[in-house]
Amino acid sequence: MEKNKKILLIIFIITLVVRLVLAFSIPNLTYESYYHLRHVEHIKETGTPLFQDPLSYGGREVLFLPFFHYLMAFFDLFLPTIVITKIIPNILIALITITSYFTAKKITKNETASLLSSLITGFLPILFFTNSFTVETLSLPLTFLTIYAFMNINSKKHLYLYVISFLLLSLTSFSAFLVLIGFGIYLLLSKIENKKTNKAEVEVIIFSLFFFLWVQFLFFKSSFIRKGISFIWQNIPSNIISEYFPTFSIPQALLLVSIIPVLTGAYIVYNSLFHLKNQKAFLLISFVIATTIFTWLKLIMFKQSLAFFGVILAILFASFYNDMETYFNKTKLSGYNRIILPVTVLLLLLSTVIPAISSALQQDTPTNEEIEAYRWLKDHTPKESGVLTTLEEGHLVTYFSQRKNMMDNQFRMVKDVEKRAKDINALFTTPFQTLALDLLQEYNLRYVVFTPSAKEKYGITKINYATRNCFEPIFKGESKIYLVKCEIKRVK
Amino acid sequence: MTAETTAKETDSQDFLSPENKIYSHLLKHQKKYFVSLIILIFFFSAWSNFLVGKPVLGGGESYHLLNLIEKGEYTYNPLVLLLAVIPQNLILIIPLLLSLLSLGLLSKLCEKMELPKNISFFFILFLIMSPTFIYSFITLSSYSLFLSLTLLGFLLIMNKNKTLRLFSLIPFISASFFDTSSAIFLLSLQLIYFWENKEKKEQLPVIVVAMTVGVMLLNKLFLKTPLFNGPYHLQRYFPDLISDFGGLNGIGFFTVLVAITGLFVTWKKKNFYYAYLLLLIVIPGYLFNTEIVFILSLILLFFAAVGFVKLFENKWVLTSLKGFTLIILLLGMIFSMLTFLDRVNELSPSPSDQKVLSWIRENTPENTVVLSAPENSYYVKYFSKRDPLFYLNDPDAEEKTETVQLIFSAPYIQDLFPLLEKNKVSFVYITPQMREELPKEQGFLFLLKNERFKLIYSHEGSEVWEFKKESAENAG
Repeated sequence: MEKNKKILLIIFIITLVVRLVLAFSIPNLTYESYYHLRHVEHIKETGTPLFQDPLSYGGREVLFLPFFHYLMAFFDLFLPTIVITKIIPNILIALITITSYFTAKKITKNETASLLSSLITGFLPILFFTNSFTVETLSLPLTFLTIYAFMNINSKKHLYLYVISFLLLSLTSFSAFLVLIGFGIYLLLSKIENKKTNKAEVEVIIFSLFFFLWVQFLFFKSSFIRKGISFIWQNIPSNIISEYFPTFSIPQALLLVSIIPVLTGAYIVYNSLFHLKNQKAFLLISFVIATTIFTWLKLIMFKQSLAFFGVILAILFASFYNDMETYFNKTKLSGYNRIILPVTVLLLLLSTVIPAISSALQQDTPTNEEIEAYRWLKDHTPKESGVLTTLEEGHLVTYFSQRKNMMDNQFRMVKDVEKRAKDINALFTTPFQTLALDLLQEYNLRYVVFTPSAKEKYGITKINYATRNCFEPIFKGESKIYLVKCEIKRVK
Repeated sequence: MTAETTAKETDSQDFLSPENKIYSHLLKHQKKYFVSLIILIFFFSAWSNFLVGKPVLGGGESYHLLNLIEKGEYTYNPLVLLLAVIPQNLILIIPLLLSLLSLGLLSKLCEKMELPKNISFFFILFLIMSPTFIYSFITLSSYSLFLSLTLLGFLLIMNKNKTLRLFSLIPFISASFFDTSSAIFLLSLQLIYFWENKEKKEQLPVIVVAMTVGVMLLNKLFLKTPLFNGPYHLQRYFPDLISDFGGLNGIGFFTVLVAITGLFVTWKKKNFYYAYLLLLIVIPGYLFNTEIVFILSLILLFFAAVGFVKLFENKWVLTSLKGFTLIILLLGMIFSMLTFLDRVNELSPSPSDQKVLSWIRENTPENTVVLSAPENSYYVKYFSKRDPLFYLNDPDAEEKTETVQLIFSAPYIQDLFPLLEKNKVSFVYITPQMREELPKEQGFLFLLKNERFKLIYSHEGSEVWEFKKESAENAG
């Protein structure tokens, strides 16, 4: 194996090891992961996706692209759950280091610069959600594999790679659409700049566009008919939309994407747009523009868009390093060439590794004690019961307790999502017992779970209306479970 | 191996060339296949309607026209006149006959205009598969007759026989009677045609144009013909054009995409200037009134056929992808068609609309006003013989729509009751769709709990509520 490939392998292994150490040092998965885990287990048991979920929101239709869940269900047949949920997602994310390397090499032809890109990608703080078992752990590497294959589309091997990766991406996540919009912008910019577009690229784009749309119509036919084009927005309730699409904050972006890739990326984007040199870098810039448009239109979540930006900027760093090296060689500073690399590596490590580890340690996961309370519910409550929890903990109810929740973070297709979001807040904050009982009755909720996470979220120490005569504590500890004993009777 | 090498290997894979045996067979026997496809689609939609017991005719316009005939209010709309003179039983087959007639005429016109065989083949195929065409099987549509008359007019005028050409005046004049926008569209077509054939020195063009303008002015100034026919349903720009987004007809999403491709590939090509011109006339019209989606669909389907042919006639570097893309595209179009066919039996009026509204006719006093969603007004009138609050094509529809919105969103009975009393509403007809769309915890559905409302009949989720007059003691 050549030296550079060995270094690349080492970067991949180090990235993976650090990720796994962090993943296993945190006992549980992020809240949303349990939603996906439940679907994976359902596919494993029945062979079909759970499109009619009897527990989420008390029972509703859930529509999703199922490739990620099928893939994980396949591994689940012969691997233990911990491997599926902690090791495979981290391997997938760590694989982006390899794609970044090859993409950067395609753009710059500079081995060292490409290895640096790979290193930055490996330790991007925004990608350090090590306990996350979500679709993004597959869609992100697939997206960058698709982009890399597209850059080499004239080779038959890469054409096959492109077709396979794009097909899988279309069956995994809506981010395939982001790729298509990126391609569209690329063609548009090429046209504006009078650059000759490769015919094969245009053909691949046409194929991808029709295939993607076909898949979406196949899976979401009924939603398109019922909701029309508004279906592509995620139906996030207005009172929590700021959590999913926070106002853009430069310090946060610098922290999550890391300062060096952001600054160098901005330089390269500026330089390429106004003094276009490299058409391949130009393609990546098109994806930056597409991501910006998607974020602005609130089509992808802020964290997803930052992850996408982060990897692209990491790849574009190779261009910057390449330019810098060339520049140094041309000037009297060429004597300092030997120290550029170690200084760069040191700066990169300092600016990425620490924020990355800090990001991983700050992941929002339930505690063992909280999970214990949800497990207890499964064994001690009737099967048809509804359980009140915070929105974030909704998936814990459906996964561990196997009971109906009032709400979780899968908002698509939920008709009364605004009302539910308002009511769930009222149920944790109202001092009025009658209002609470009325709402609990409306949503058929017989149990209330009050965890430390709920305390922290709502800034309360107890549920004010939970008096003993109407709310009997049946599980005591840090987390409490109440049985609702009273009901409101309407007088006619 | 590079993609260029692959291209050389598979140059022979030309799907739309006479060398392709399947395609040349389809092209040769296209008429048989088209007729079979039409029969298949018609029987599928008729069968699915029959299974659920749905009325044969659908769409607000059908019932609007039937209401006019029942009341003896004959307008100058040629379709109304046609329906008035034919026996009642034959009315049901008029939509099918009109669709078949327009398709046949269109096919003949494509031949006459010497349109490339590939383009005319796909144009007709896409048209048959389009929800617009399928919907026209079950709807009495003025635009369907307008199209037939227009096509017939052009077929006659293209004839070498002078007498037959003179006969073109009859369909042209008839086609000018529908509404002003159709007459303008017809006039544009005539001007384009005569401009293209200006070398023929004769008087007929002048007569045809003068007659069309004359009838148009006569209609506008003396007969007060509306600018647009309809609307007969609540208008929504995207779904009304793209059936996959829940519209009543229109065309499929894939067809729209291929039509856009067609627009791109024909851009700046001289032969297509007129098609663009027609688009420029029809699109603003569509923005005013989406009922003209019928005509817009036709133009877009033409561009889709052009786009499709150009896309697959061109040599591809990646030939294997060309085959895949062709299959995906055709599957996408078939998928849109099947999705629409699957929905045909869900389109209004439903069997329960018919049953519940007939119950109103038999069990409520005459001369009462029935409140329902605006798009149900034509069915309310036809089946219950009671007056709805208003019709969507009334001149004051905008103002009345606001009143209905105020009624359905009134938060308190103090706001609601005066509105119902002022509009003399005695009964309310609630459909399952209204139950789904209106908020339950506030507004009209919530206020139905008041004692002045009484549920008097319900069937499969459709309900009739009586709005009782205020009793004397309460009033006092």
